[in-house]
Amino acid sequence: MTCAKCRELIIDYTHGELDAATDAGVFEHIQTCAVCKAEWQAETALTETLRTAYAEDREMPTAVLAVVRQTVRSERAPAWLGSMRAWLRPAVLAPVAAVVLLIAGVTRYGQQHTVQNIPQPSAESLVRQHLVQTMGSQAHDRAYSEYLLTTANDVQSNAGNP
Amino acid sequence: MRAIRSGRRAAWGGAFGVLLLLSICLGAARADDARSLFHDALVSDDSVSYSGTITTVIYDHDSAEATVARIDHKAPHSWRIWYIAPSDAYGRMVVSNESLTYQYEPEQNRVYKNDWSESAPGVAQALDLDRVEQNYSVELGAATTVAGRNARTVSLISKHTGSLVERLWVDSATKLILRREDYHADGSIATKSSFDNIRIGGSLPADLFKLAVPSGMTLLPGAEYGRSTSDVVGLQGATKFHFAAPAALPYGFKLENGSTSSHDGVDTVQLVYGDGLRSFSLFEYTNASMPRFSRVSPKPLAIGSLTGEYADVAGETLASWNTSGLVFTIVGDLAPREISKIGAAIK
Repeated sequence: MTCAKCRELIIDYTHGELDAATDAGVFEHIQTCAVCKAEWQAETALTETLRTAYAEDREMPTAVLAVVRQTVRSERAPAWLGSMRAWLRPAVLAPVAAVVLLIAGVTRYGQQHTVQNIPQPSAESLVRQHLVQTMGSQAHDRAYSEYLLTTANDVQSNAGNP
Repeated sequence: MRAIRSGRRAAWGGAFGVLLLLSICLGAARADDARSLFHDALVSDDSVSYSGTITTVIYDHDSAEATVARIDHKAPHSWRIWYIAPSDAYGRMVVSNESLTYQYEPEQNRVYKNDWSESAPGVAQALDLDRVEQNYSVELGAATTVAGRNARTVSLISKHTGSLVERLWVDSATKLILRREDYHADGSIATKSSFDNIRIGGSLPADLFKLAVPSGMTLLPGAEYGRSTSDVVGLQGATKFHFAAPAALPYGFKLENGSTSSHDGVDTVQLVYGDGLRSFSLFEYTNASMPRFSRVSPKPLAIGSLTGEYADVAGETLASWNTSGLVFTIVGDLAPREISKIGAAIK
């Protein structure tokens, strides 16, 4: 950034009205340019004088605010981490999490709802029906078949059915 | 010289003819013996009472399940079966007159009642010998012993495939079946059932077979099963959907009966096919998923251009697939490739 450009922006810079990129450019320039830095300090002093003269409430001096702002900027985090932090802000994260949970819940409910709505006979039940229809009279037929069939009575009853 | 040679030739020819005739006669007599023994074995428990312990093993392709039961049978139709194994059935007693069955569960003080006369037509009737002989040759085997008793074996061999399907060990004195083995289509054993000990006759008190509810026990209805009917055309009228049937069946099989029943809330039609010895059921239903397997993982099975799934359940093969909103399930002692053919022939 040139000194001429910097001087054009000093007033807006002092009042914090520049966009982030331009603000950063002015900040870097006044760190290395004593002339522009002096101009910025003069502008800051003037602003402070005016604020003192007209403000009813005492506020933190603009110079202090400016230093704090500069300190924060000088310890700026890497760009990707800043971006990540921006996405993790509660204002962004909370609605996103809510939407994700809502979608998951609806999907799971839909699956359960679908399974419950479509009946499905058990394989064992069909095998028992086959055995009943084909079971013979001999002891060799009845010993195992009746075991399976009577076990069904037992299981059905224990499941709460009569 | 020529006359001598001619005489010798005639003598050899005559001897050969006599031997051939003798062997044919002996073969025919042996076949008659086998048929007669098989027939007697099928009806023997209508006239012979006994008490014994019978062990049954059901083999799946990768597992086996066994029951051990004490059986008292009073001819012609009274049965009392007391289960010793497996452990979940220990102490269970079944008393039956081949029509009604009472199941006593002493630990729960419950008695379950099932009416087999409506749902299990085979319990009260013996196998149809003529039907069996249409599809199986009956062969007499060697003499042996089972549970200390002399027995003869009878083998039932498929006339279509030539494979051994069933072998019986028949008591020489009473004609009771002392042991029975059934085989899968691939020749491996499917079930084995044998008396470990048996006592013929004896005086079995009638009270042992009384269908009664002891005091302190509650009588409950047993699980419901479909009522069997031979009027399959009438079955269509009682069904809300149009069910299909296979256009081609394995050799010797024909439609024998059918039923409608509900399984886990699914209204199902069952068509039972048999060849006199083996049988399978074709189940059909709509608006439901294919059957769920609780103990096994099914494998894929090609049914024509469709893909179904199959698994062994309690010694039976169960295969299922769906098409055009209908779910088909076949249950029976059939090889998967036989089920594929039947399924592909369903129109």
